[in-house]
Amino acid sequence: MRPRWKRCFYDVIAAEISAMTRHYDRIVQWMRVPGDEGYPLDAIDCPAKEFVEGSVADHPKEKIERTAILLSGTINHHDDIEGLLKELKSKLSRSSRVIIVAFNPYLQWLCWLALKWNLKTGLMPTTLITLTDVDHLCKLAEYERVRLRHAVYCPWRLLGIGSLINAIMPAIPLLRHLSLTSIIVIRLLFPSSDTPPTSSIIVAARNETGNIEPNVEPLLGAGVTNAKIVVLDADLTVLPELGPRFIDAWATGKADFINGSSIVSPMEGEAMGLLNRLGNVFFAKALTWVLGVRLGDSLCANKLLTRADSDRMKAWRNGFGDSSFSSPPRSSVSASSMCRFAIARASTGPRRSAASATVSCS
Amino acid sequence: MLPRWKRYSNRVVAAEVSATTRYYDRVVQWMRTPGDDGDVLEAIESPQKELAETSIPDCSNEESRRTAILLAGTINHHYDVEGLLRDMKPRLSRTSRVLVIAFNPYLQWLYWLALKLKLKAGVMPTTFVTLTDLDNICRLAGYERVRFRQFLYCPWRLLGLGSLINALMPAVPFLRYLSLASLTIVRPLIPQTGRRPSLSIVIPARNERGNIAPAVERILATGIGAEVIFVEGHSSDGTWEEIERVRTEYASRITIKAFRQDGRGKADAVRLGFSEASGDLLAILDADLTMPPELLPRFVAAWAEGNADFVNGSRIVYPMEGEAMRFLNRLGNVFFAKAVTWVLGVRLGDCLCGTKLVMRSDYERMCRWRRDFGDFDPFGDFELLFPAAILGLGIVDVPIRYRARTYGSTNIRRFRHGLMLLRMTIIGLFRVKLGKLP
Repeated sequence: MRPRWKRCFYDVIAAEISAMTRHYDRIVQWMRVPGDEGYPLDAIDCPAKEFVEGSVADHPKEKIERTAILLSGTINHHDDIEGLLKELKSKLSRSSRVIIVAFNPYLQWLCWLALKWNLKTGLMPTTLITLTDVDHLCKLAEYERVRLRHAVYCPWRLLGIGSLINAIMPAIPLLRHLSLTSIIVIRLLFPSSDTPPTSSIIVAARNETGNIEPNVEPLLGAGVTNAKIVVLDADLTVLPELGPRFIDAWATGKADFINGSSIVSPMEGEAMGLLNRLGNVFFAKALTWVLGVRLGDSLCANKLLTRADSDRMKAWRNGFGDSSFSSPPRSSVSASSMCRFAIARASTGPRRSAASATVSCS
Repeated sequence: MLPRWKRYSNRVVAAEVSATTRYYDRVVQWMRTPGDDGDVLEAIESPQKELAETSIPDCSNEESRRTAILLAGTINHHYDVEGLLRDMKPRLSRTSRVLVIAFNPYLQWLYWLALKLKLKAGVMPTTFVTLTDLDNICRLAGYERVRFRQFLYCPWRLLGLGSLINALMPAVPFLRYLSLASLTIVRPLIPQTGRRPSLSIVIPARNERGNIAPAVERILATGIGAEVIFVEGHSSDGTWEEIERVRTEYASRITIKAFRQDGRGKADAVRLGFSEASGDLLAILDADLTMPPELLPRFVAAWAEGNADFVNGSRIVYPMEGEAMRFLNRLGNVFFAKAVTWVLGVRLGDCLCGTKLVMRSDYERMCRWRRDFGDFDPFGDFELLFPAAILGLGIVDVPIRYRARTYGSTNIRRFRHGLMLLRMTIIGLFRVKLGKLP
């Protein structure tokens, strides 16, 4: 029988992980630590769950599907994380993500106290790594951190007060660093190159007769033909010539979700330009904070993603509700909350038309 | 004739750039903007300065030379920054750096005002790039940001008041984002190909007789093929005799050099060892073997894969030496790591680990930097980390498991040495963090 606070603790962690694995195909827990009775995995929501024993070397390579590899507390009891990550590499596919659940290194004394007072059984963690350490390790082993969530501030439910604290604290500046654990999602960089995928390009158009043909022509030249989806604006505010750059950013493994970003300011009417830009900056910063993903522009229509992920986003949207009527924020939200994507941005060129479609519609 | 505020501003820009380029071999300005009259480049300090008109010189064969490509305001007038960086990359080597001077994107309205009020001539820049944008562009084009400085808050000297503001503001939280311009240094990500560089391992030893033979034995076992340089410092337990014995015993299997330092302290020992080294890469290994020699190949690999030009050890697991001491030590380590991260603007997990790896050509640059900066570090950690950050080498931490020593006792005295470290950090705050003035 595990104590109630421990159940609560793992339920919060499982809820955090489920937010993303619900839309994955599979979650596999590797290298369970001694003392782990399979609890976080039990409570996690995912179509397929398993845990595997033995050394990493015995496992087959993951297929191209969204598999989450769960390392729950493993790195807190490991001697050589760089070696572990390097060893894992040969088993992962481009679409695999490693989910690391780790103790807050600055609260190790709490863990020590809990052990002293017999609130907790097991071993004192030997390895306590900070976010800086994680990032350096990722760099050495050629991974990239794509998501960080602080989880569990109060491991007791306390008639709902504990749950309230756990819900609100992640949004409070500075204090949010006091979480007992963090959940870190990393992805492999430089995946082995598969055959170049085919692409579909979706051009959203309304009252854009004159812009249809110029949009298609440069793409034909770039050899773009059907499995990835590129969204382009029919108003040609973003040069279709940059389409190949989106595909290149995807193909070289920079990210699984490529987001356009207009950094060149529109030259039409200074006042409007400035106001628009202010709005863009505000929403870019706000969304960066809300999602925990650095975005330079959250409102640029141009995006590139795989069909499989687009289908996952559809499933996510059904659960989340259709809150957004212009598509960009919606796809970014799903991209981030499912945590499947690292978002790299392709800088887009100058706006060509006198006014963009969004402006003329509104 | 330039207006006085403009001349002063250009001098501030040049002072920031010079802090780095003074120790480089040359600066090449590329894609000068139409309004640039060459005043900034003229004021920059570097052994060699050029203006590239048609293309940047091919630096791709440079192994030890460092060339800085200067883009002064260029990206603010460029439509395709990603393409610009991509086109440059094949002509750069791993030692090249691109220095980007850009306007503060959030203050573009000031620029617009200055143009309206005729304070400034020229055209309104088209492109304003935030740090997020620049990081993303770097990632797409295969570069990494290694340094970021904000400077120039007041473009007038105002009898020294403006200069005071320009010096202090970079250290003021939040307000530091109000700078008019920024200097970003990016490095191309290029893994080492071709020739394998040779390695020299310097081992400063004081009262470590029992660790000499194990050190050599374990380095041999890794098979990294290095030259080992022992520097002995006033030991009383016969360390020197043991080094000489080991040198003779292993003479057929590995090159061992041995020196006795005249001065005192680890920094002095490392300097002596490095000056006698012949390898392309220089590494320090502590003679207490708390950092296992088996991990040295990881340091070399981190360098060879192009992760960074300076590899810094980071001890994340400590030997158990009684909870209280261990806790205090850890606190001290965390404090200094955070403080140095803030002072240097480089994220470090640990700034007090003895083990580091640097290119010899860069070490020579660091010595020149030290001659200008003055001796301030008796331990030898900060006098390598500070210039590594200033030169924009790119630093990566290699986490190591710290083992308990099996022979002898520690030469560290916690509180006295802690105060010395604090003093050094404050020196860094004043001389590295604060804004550079002409």
